[in-house]
Amino acid sequence: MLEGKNIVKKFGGLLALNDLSFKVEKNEIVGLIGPNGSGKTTLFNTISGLYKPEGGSIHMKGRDITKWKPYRIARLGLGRTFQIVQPFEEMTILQNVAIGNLYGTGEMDIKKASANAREILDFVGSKHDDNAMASELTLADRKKLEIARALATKPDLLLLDEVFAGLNETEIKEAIALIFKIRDSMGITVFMVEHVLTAIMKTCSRVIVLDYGQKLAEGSPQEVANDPKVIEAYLGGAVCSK
Amino acid sequence: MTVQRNNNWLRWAVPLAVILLLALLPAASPDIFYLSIGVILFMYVALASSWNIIGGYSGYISFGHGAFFGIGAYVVAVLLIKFGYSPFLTCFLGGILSALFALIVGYPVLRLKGPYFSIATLCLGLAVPVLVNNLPEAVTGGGQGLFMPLMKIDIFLSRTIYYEVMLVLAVGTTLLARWILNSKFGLGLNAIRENENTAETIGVNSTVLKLQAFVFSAFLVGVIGGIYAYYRTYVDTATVFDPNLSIAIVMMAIFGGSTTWQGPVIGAIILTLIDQVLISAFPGAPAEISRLIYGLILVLVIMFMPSGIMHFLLNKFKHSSPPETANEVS
Repeated sequence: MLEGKNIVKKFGGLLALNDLSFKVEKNEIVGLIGPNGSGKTTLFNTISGLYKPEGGSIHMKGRDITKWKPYRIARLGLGRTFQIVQPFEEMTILQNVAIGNLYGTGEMDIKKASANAREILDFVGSKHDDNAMASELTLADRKKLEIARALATKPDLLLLDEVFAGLNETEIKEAIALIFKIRDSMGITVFMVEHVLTAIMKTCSRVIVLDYGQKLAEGSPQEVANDPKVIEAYLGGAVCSK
Repeated sequence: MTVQRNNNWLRWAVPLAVILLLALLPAASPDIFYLSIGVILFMYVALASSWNIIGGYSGYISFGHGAFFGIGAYVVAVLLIKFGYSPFLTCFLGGILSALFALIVGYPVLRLKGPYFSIATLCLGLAVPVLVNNLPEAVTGGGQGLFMPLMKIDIFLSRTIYYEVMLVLAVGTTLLARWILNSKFGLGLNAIRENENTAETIGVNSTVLKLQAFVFSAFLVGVIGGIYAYYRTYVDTATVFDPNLSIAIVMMAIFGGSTTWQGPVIGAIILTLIDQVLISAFPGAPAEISRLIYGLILVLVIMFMPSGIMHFLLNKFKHSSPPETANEVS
């Protein structure tokens, strides 16, 4: 579904992604973890085309998307959410989702797009009036809205950037159920950045660990959590070596 | 439910009646002064609505629309003087040339964002008249400007023609702007205004959409400029490329509420009327007095309704309506 080979991304002198290679297979739920500043969001921005890598290549569904603009990658079937949620604040909930359907799928009819948006809002469990402004929503509802907007583009692969962060336990349980539902009933592959470890344990079949822009470890959540290199990266090398 | 239907009916009937009454006003042979105010009023409604397609919907605040206005005006003047073509036809050519110009400059300039875009367009509005002044004098008349032959009809009748044409332009651009806002195109522009990067990640090709909006907006403004040139019967760079025009239409749209289609109409009507009323209210006093009051009103509105009058009204209406209304629809 998605394959990155030797990706290099620099910001000035800083190597944000250093020769990173990874693979996400169809129908997987893959987790991406790593300490702050390890390059997780940079990787997502590079995959979705917001950043252009200095080296390496990214292939999705067999096409080389390395140099593609974000809107083309989106139309090919990549949906994403943002770590800092970015709904279109001064637009209604329904409009937010309908735009995803109109531009992500090439739908031309606003009425059809609105009907599709309505279905997707039900799917993610939005409890709000469709005509409420996105700016009126709580954080949890904004996250749901972002997922709905991404789903409306009818993606094959969904990148979720820290959807659990800032949610309470009940909300996390709901979100985990939603991720499984997205994979199982919509057939969408999920690649997610996450800090909430319990959530990763429950959802991901495979976890990739980043540190300083490089792949530090990869494996099942259990394997990764017990990997001494991973523990060192999270707790700090100096502490461990003492 | 019946109240709802009545409201919908009224929403169409009231504006339609107002437009019809305005269109019939010349039949009551009013003082020619009122027709002149009408021409300017309708022109600003049309300009602000046209500007809003790029400036309000996509949030790319252009301070250079005077350039498109002036290009339209010059095209009409040159074609009338050199070839005798009727301005009511050549105004569309003026629009096309403005649009072409917008296409060429828009491609690089629309890569700039926020204040950088505004500054670039401001410079554009100042650079084009210099360029026109330096074209061969035989074509543009140079610093002298160009005088157009008058229509050989009674002044009241000719004023009435401009009045009606501007009214058609005002209604036409407003309906177009309304239609665009509720279209796929308009929603895409709104998404760009809210967050361009996010819009791209859901499939919005922002480069193309912005350019389309900029070019279309320039076309409409060029057409309006062409009609205005014939109304004035004289063009020179100082009048048709007046930077005050660029600024006035931005203020009108934002004053009225640039995220809505009604905002620019309301803003243009209120600001034009205030301006005209103030000018005639103190006939003996220096012009600065009316300018001062005009400025004061602007400052007050921006302080208390920063998102524009329309936004303010919509919020008022929303909060004052009983909570049951939301459920009544279903």
